[in-house]
Amino acid sequence: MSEHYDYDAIIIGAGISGLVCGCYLAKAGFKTLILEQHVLAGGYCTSFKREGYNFDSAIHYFGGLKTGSLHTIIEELGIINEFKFNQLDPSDRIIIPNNEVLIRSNIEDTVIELKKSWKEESTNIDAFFEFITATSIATLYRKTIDISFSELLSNYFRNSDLKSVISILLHGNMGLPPSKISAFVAIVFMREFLLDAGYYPEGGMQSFSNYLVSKFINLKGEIRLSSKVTEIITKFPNVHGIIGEDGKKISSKYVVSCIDANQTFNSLIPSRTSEKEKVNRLEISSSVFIVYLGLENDTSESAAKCCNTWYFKESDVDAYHNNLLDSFTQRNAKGILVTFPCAKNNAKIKHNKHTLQIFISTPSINEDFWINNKESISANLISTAEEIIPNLRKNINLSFSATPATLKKYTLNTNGASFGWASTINQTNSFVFPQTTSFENLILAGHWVTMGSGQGGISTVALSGKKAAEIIVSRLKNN
Amino acid sequence: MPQNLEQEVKELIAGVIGREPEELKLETNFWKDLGVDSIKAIEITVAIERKFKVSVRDEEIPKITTVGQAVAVIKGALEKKAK
Repeated sequence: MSEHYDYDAIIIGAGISGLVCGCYLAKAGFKTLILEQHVLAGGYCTSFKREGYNFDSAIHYFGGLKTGSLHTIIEELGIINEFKFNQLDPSDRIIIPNNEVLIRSNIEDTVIELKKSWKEESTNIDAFFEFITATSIATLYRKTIDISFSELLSNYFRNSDLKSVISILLHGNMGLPPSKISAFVAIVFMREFLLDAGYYPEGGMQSFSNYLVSKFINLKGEIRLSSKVTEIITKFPNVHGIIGEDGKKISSKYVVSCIDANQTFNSLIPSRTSEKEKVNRLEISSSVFIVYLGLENDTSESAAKCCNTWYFKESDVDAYHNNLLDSFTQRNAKGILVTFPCAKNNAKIKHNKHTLQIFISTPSINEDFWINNKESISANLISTAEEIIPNLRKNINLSFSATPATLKKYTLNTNGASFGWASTINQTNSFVFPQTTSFENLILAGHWVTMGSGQGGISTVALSGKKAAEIIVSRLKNN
Repeated sequence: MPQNLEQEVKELIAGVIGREPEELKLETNFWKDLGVDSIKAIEITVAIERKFKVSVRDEEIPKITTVGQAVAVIKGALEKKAK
């Protein structure tokens, strides 16, 4: 390696993992550059404005700010006292045929809600939550890494609706049904989202990403938006920097790729690598179809019940997942999330600037299908949402939607994948797609690495960003 | 006691952390040099437990930071089991 480098580290991608990684590296005193192809920083944690309405692009809430890895990160970076998060209570409302349950912002209240609906399962509910909250992570890992979440639920509960309610929340936030997800991953998710749930950055998702950008700049980091990387310069077993769209080379001691793994190993690195073979073999997570609605009138009444409502007409989550294609080809959505971004802020929104978003997971399907059927799918999702929000259609002033192709366009995630690699039982262990690569100084972060506890979600990607920085800091300090 | 315990442990740990066994020396510190975190440490420990049919106490997990320490823990557990 030559003596002079432009930067200690170049980070590709200004999603949350890239921004967190950048903040840690800059805080440790290393000269760091973040390059982002989009005009906004944040990845899926972005917001945008259209016709005076404010929308969040994709992510609708965070979990685990009081304890856990995200808590540690916001404390270590000094965010905790500088940035305001609102905690929504209830965080989720789940409607299934014959029942409706609220998920509260803390586990004690959630347990009370569940027991209201399923008195006969009270002892089992206590035992289940005692197991997932009071058992050490090592013991949980030993006992649950090889079994599916369905098996774990069946070990505790008899009632299928109770199992469904927990599974719906998991499907919405990880994109997999209970039979496909490892029980350990599900438990890690629940420890985050049921113990301390429903956080929303005041001002919207973009305000959190922008805050991280200013933090990074204050720490003397450098960020360039609208700056696409076209190649990572390699000379095995090292990388030496990147080449941008303008053809200019920028050298660095380390490169951290926080973007889609397919982009990294099939587009940016032309040579054959062991990662390239894995990228083409591993299963990727599902994407989402999102309807964005700008409303004429105040929706406070509907939003007051809960900002995030899961409305499922099919309570068997495995059947729902397996027949997801029918939701689109037959225009018969069986399960949606309805969320009110405007109601999550403390700031008062003008009565005619309220917003609502409808989400539904999507199966893997040709991009042309979305282009040809976007309008009719959107109309069906609005009709479905109207079943729980009376007169919704009459109240719409602005309506548009994002398909998996839209998500791909803005984030370059393969097929618009929401959670990177699918968190299936076989793709849980951290060695499946680790942060370290076959290049000594190319490190990965974001939801395209397997962290041992499931992919996707702000906490996980933020943690991967912190760990990438730790690897680099420890090596640079030793050299 | 397995004949070539050290080599077996190296191969096992290298597999878990996605490295080649030759990269691991007896004193290589996984936490410092190889970016092992708490979940990976649990993955390594459970892999050890399953391969050598021993049980490692939770409080011992953070102590397993090198191949040498892993070998020592396994030896201790196997001896305890043999008694």
